[in-house]
Amino acid sequence: MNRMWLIAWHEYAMRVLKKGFLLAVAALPVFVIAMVGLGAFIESTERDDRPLGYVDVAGALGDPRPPVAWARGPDDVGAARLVPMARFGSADEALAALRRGEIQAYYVLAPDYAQTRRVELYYLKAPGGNATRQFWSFLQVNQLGGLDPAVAERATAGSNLTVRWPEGTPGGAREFSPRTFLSNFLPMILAMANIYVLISTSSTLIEALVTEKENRTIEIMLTSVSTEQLVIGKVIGIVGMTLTLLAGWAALSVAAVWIGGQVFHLAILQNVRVDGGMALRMLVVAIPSLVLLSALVVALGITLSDAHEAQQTSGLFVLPSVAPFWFSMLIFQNPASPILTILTMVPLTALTMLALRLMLSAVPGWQVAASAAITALAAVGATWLAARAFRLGLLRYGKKLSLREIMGRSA
Amino acid sequence: MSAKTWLVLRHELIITLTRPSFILAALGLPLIAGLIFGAASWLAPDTPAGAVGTAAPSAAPGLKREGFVDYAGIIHELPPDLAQGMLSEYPDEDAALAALRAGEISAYYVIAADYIDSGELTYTNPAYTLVGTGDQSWLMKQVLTANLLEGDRARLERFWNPMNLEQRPLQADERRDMASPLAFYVPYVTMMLLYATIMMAGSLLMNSITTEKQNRVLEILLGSVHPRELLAGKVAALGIAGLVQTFCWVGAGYVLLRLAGQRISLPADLQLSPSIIGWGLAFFALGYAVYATLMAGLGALAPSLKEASQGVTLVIWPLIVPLLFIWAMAEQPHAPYTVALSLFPLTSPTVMVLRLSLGGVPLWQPLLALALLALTAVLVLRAVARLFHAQVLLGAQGAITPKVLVRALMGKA
Repeated sequence: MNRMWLIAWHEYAMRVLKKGFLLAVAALPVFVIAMVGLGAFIESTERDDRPLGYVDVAGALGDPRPPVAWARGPDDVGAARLVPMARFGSADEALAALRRGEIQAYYVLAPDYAQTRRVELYYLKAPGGNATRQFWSFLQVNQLGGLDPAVAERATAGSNLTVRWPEGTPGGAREFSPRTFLSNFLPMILAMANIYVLISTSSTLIEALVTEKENRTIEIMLTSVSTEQLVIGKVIGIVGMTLTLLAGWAALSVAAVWIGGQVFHLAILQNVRVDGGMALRMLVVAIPSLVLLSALVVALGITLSDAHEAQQTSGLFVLPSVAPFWFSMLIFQNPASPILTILTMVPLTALTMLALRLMLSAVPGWQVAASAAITALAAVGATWLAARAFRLGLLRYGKKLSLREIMGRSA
Repeated sequence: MSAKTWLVLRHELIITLTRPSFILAALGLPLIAGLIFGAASWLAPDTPAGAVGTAAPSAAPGLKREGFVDYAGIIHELPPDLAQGMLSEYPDEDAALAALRAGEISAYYVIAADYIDSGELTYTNPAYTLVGTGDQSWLMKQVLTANLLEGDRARLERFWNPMNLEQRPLQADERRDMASPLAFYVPYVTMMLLYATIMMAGSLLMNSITTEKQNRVLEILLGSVHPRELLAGKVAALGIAGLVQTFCWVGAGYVLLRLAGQRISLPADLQLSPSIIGWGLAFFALGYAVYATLMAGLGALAPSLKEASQGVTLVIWPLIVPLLFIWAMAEQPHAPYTVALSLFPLTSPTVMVLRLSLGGVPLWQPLLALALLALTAVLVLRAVARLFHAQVLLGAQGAITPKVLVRALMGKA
């Protein structure tokens, strides 16, 4: 048993205690932050905080109330950003201010506004959608002259809507609001991270195993350990490496959320709450999935005869992990469809399908439990298969093993 | 084109087009996609027409019974056109939850006691999904607003529609109206097609050279063909193969859409002028020449397909970066960074085509971009042809790093 852990530690240390691994941990978050930063930069080049002008020659608004910041719904992660309103006595004055760059645009209420509600918007460069939304709410609140100001403001702003699933819903209690916006995407983030790990590491791992087999290192190792110890040790090492990678990304994400929310005061990153139940449902399927994939990587690495073939075959893992995305529309339209339940139970598609379903709709607890159990059984089976393939293929350099041979009784 | 180049081209084209893996990729993948598409359409239930976007409560056919708990005492009356029992009041949350569990209602709202100040409205709905399906909260919004406005119908009508806006731009606005899906999809599809074709043909070329190098066929070939003739023949043949594959995929996509009953009906104001097609072909040809030649260079440098595939990342970065910012660039096609990327030779094949399909590009810009791209193509072709000598092709290089690639292209490999 000690030797198995020795192999696991060696496999883990060989991959994790390297500069390349640290780079792999840092590369994805750095890339995401760079993309978000660049997006924010482009957004900031478009942002215009100059006042919005308006001309009300007919006096339809009287002594107007200021515009009202609109309330937030479950998917409004950013707070309303209001710009000052500037009133002009005539269209000429507003035009001069626009040309001087003092305002970003101005609205002119037609003389017959009370009857026609006609408004003209003048600009040199079209203002953003928020400007129109702000002027819309400005006009709305000023239609409510006789009402109590607090009531008028509430009617204009609307409700801060929080949606909930009650206890006893197949997916458990859950909240949809700006503060849970990020955590609702957690299953998908985990599934995407899993696919990224698969794409970036599976071919390298398979090739490393094929090379070990080709250069006969394995023969030397087998003089002191059993095939089962070697295979299980390698699987544990690879699972450990993947978990370390995911934990590294999780730690960096937590740090990024804290810095973004507390230091840069980004609305989307403030009061972020993680739904523990949902995270647990994902983890019970994610961990056996990782073991299963690691065992399959080892089995393929042992079975295949050359590195070129190994590289082509690694795509086999990625396809089932991505396939559930093709059924996304079905999840919206018919979340209870049997095909979705089946794909949640199939070990290689289970993780992505569960992530999509958890994110988009409710998943009964029994399905999560069944999926976890089936995937765990498959992981044990794949490890057994890898050990058997390993024993059979030991002395067969340059020749592929067929599945029939691995499953047959001749071993 | 010399006779030997023509011979290489013909041979390479026949070998590639008749290879089972090519036929599978060109025809098999659309077939699999078609089967999955068919299965998904077959499994998906029909959506009743008119279930979405109906404003009047009485006219919404899919309306479900809901309840509400009004701790703020705001709701005094319900819309007269709302059928009896569609929105029932409950004294507290427990009663509403019991009704929900008994199946009497599908969801319920709780209006907070301090609603006027806080605006807190909780919607308990087990059918709600992240993308908003099952959401009927617009009805409560109407009811709350009507009650806050004390049921004054004239004022309510003015409140819902406070302006009929007419836009008066004082100068031609260079920004695109991204509200129209067409404004996004036309350049997006153009850019993706170009990217996919360049990538497919370039990968075929790299694989071909690496394989021939590994099995030493290249040694025999170089005994009778000049490296430049060999490279030119291969680049042209695999470019044609890449185009064939793209046409198969585009054709399959079109057929699938027709089968699904979604005709591609292009609006009258959409005109893909012959000049844009001409520019597109010119940028594609030169862009392909640059990238395919670079890929061939990778194939020549790398000892095996593994190292060559790792090196691809170095080469295709300039093609990937514009794809990540396509939305921002399509919205601001004349911003300084978009113009710079559309002139830079490694990004111009995609970004300039994107800008041209959006319109308003001064003539000197595509001409300059094309000239720079042609110059780059010539320089890259010369640099890579230099790599096609026996020493590099047969020597054992290690992993392809940026340093190795740059040194090789500078003739120092």
